[in-house]
Amino acid sequence: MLNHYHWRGTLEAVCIPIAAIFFSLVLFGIFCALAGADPLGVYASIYKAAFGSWFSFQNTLIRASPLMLTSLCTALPAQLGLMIIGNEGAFVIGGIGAVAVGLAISSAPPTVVQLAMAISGIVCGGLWIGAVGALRYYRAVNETISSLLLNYVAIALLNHLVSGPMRDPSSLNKPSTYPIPALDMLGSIPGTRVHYGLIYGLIACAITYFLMRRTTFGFAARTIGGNIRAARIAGLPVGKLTVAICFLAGSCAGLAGMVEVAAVQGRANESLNANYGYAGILVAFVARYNPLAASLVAVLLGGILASGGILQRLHSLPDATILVFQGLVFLVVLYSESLYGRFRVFQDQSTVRRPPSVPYVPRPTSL
Amino acid sequence: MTINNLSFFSDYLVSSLSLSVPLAFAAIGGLWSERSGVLNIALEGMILTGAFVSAAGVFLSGNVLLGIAAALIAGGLVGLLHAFLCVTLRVDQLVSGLAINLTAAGLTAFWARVVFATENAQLPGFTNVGIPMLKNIPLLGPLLFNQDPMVYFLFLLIPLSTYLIFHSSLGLSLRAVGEYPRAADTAGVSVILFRYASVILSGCLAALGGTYLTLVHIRFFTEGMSAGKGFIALAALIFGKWHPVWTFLACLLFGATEALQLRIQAFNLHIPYQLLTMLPYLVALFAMVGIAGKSTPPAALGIPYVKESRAQ
Repeated sequence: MLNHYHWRGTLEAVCIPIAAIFFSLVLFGIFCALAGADPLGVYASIYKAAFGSWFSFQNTLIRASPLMLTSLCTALPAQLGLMIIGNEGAFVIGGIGAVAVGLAISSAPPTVVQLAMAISGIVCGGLWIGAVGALRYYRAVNETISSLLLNYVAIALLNHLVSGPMRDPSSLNKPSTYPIPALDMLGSIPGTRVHYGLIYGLIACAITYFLMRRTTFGFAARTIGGNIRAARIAGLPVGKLTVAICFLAGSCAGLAGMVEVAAVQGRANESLNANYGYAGILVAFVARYNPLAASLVAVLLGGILASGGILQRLHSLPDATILVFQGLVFLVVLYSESLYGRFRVFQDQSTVRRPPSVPYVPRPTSL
Repeated sequence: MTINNLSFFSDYLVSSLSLSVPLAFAAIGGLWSERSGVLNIALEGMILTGAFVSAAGVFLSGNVLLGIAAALIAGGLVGLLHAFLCVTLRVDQLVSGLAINLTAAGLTAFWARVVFATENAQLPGFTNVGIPMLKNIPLLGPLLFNQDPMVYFLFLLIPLSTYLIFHSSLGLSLRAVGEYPRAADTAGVSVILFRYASVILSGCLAALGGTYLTLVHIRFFTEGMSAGKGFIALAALIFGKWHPVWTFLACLLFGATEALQLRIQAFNLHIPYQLLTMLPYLVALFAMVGIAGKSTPPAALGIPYVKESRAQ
């Protein structure tokens, strides 16, 4: 049912972020000009490297698939009113878990190995962020800070495992685990160079969207996000739902880690820690925590990430330029948040103001 | 205890204090901001900004004081941005902090490649200024009376912050703004002004923490050198119950953990050093788990103040 009120609201939710991204492109152009590069040339290069040809678009899709999955790690808990930024940690842990299982049972048939790696990535990442959710609910530990601290723990664990217990002695300069046998690697979608991780990402986005918007589970979660006291009075199991959603969120990021090792890297090493987690936060935020929108934003941002190398080669801009662009997008989109409801085009006559949401309060500890 | 043991212990204390200084500056900065009701996840970005700007300033001008001044201004500007987003535009304060962290990481990495592209020279830093007589006291002397000027400033900052926040009318207004802005507003205290001022101050102090990293610890700027220190400072703030003295002690605890970690690495006790690097983060996490429920944030923390709204 597409009634009058809805389409204007949807139009607003689509137009404002898109306008914000364009505005950040303009700012980025100015920044590049200040740094001594030709802004129009930079735009052309980004477009060419991201969407210019089928070849480069496939590159973009390869970058987009982990982003889709890591963005869910922030987008799902956001429905509860929780801000989790442990994407990077869950990604790394999922990757380690996948490699460990993949190497342990490498004699099994490839399908079984791939399945086991995926499950291991999902479970490891899920437990990682599930713990953050449990700490939040049962011990009132701030989830943003704890999930970020856990990122550093995960990276330290990765460095330890690849240079000690899981190290392949032949990897000299860059300590790595033993490689996953080529047979067990995730293949490409027929007719393309894009691996099956993209399908995982799309399916995960679709499932979580359906789960959050069309099931009682999702409704319960959004109720908690809207008003936790009302949810508690209504008898919703707030604790179980919090842990379950955090587990789900972490499992998506863990699956992204599995995809990265089983389709791209082939082994776990420090390259696993390549900022997919932090970029995922940005994707979730630009998509306003909507899983379906996240899949589209991931493609857009994946394209921009894919152009990092070209900017360095053609315009002699440092590779950190892409980070600057990400930061600009983040700030401008954040600024645009304050513009909702300011334009009359998007307003309906009978606009109903939403009540202010009540912040997430953990279980009273005195109980 | 032999002389050797004593000097070892004294060294350990000195390095614990030194490692906790950047945390303490950032945490006291965060304390000012959060006491006024503005969440400051952006501490990480502010530390990084301060670290980079002071390094670049000293590198280009050769003058340490000029570098510090530049870092203070840059940190203040980052604070101003955070205040504008949170207080004036009233966007989500957590997200604003994250955006600032990401932007600071990008911009500092970018300009570091440009500014420090050619040489890799060590920066001039601070020399310790010993206080005659006092510095010769065993154990306490090197710890308290033979330090660089920034540590002395920190020693001054903590009682000053405690006095201002808890024993002055200014602090009373500040806490009122953070606890119940409507009442403060009714009493004629400008909520907006107080929040802007304290967030800007927190930017300056966090940047000072970053300055300490570049000018005393590493003597150079490396990308992402803040390495989660802003978040450890936030953990210290929670563990210290938003009180300057307890917060500083929490920072000392985390600094001591870091120092311990480095000592164990140096002693080659066959504990893999990669595992040890996670120690400071784990201790910060456990500290937050331990304090659970016993530490209450300012009541209006994270809630934007709207003058005419009737809800809280």
